[in-house]
Amino acid sequence: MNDLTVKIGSLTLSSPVIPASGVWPYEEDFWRGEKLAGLGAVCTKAISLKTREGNKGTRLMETPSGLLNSIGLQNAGVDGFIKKYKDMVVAGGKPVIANVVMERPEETAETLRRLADTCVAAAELNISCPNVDGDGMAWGMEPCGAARAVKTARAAWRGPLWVKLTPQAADAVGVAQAVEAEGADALVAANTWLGMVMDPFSGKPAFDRAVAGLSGPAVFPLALRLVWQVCGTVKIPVIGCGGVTTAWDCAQMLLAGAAAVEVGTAFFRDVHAGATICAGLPEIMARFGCQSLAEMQGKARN
Amino acid sequence: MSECSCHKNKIDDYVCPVVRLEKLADRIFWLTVRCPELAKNALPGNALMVYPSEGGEPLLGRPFGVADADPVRGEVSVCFMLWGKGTELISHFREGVMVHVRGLFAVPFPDRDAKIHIACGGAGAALFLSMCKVHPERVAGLYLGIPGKGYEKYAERVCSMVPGAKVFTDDGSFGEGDSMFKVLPKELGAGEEVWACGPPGFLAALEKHYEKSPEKLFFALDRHMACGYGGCMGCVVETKSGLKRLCVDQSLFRSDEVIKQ
Repeated sequence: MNDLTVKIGSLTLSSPVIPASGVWPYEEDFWRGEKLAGLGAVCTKAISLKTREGNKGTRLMETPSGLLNSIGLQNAGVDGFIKKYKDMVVAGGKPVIANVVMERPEETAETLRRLADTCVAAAELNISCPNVDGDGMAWGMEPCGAARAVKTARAAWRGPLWVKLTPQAADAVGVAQAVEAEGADALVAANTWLGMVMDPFSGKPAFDRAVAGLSGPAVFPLALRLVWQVCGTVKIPVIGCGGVTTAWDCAQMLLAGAAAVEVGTAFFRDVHAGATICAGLPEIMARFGCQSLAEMQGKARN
Repeated sequence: MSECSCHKNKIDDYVCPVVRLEKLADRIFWLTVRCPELAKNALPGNALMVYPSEGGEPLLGRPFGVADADPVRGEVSVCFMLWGKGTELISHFREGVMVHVRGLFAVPFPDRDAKIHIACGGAGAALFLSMCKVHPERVAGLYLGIPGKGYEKYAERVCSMVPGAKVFTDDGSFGEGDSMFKVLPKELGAGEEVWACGPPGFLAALEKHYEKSPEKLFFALDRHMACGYGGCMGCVVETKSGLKRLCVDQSLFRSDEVIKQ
């Protein structure tokens, strides 16, 4: 029996696969039974202090081997999450990672305080959403902004704190190091890649905000490169995120140094993507002579 | 992915064989797959997603309303219009080929005591065919608008499933005239409603036709969709009562409750 458990700081997960934020629905059927097979934890949709309606207009456009989205953090707010979904997601039995929107510092601190008694296993600070103005990605573009965001969150949240980076940062390594220095427990590298597409009928940008976040297999090599770069410069665990679709994709992230992976768009093709990825890992582990995923982690760096 | 073995009304992925693919018009196709669980559980208004390829390109499935379901044969059918790369690939599916299907999703049509006039443009009729078959007593009439020449087989298919359906052709080459708006009842009696599906221009014309009774006009709408299970929030329709996801929240919208984009 291969050991697929992974450790991310103080958390031990039964598998390295975590549905990324924005993918797993608040539907009963997805928080019990076989749909949870193969998942080490589940990341919630974004949670902000107040309800957010999200973006108007077109929200999705398919691209070659990818998907552009401009959802805009639509969510019921932290009180709505607690009232409507908290019991369901906790009852699922998987560690729940609460994805928290980095808004104004006092807002995010309050969101985190309200989540304190909800049994979530970790908070994932989202300083990287490309689909909103003024907050989200703006916090993660520079080391100083990222540091300020993490300092705020660290002061308000005693549990494990993960920070989701943006690949748009010119100095992603600098941002990662700044985040680590402020006390983050893990990094997620990374959120979606800023892209755009024209509407074939209007000849104008398809999205109201012109730009949107690109995910899916198209971005995997970019995300892997980012993980490779970041893992070499920080000591805290890194979770690889971006286009992971197959067991080999997952293995590549681990070989580069990631402790686990977040999987998003792959669930749009395979609702059991977690189980599918896990099923393929033992053969790859055997290929590289690894008895555990911990042995595989960072093996390509040696 | 399973071989047709999910629980009732729970969305899942299936690999199932193509029973047949029929070309009913220049750009309209009818795809039937064998998937007993989907066929057994499909209700009027439900939809499923057909994946054009097993590789990553195109990435997403294509969502179609269930046009027909035969629980005895274990077959479920969708009807689609050729629109882009994905539907182009699906239009080349061959009998016996195993294909990836996701379903069932979309809220079944409301089961209320109303006499329904169904007005559709092009392949939009397919969405309502299973309701006409399952609940013929609820359907006052089906009005289908299509381009004309070359669409005879499609019109025959609709009429075979909905006896008495009225067909209108833009070129007047067959059917009962060139516009359903000449015969579509403008004054609706108590308990009468119009349910519609079709291109935006057609729906706008219906709004004009029923401008005095928008509360009796209902639309089945179309949006880009990625997951089909309520996760991605991509397929939302903005309404006066908030955002509704087509895949899990609501399938049919009162015309005056939809906020135009």
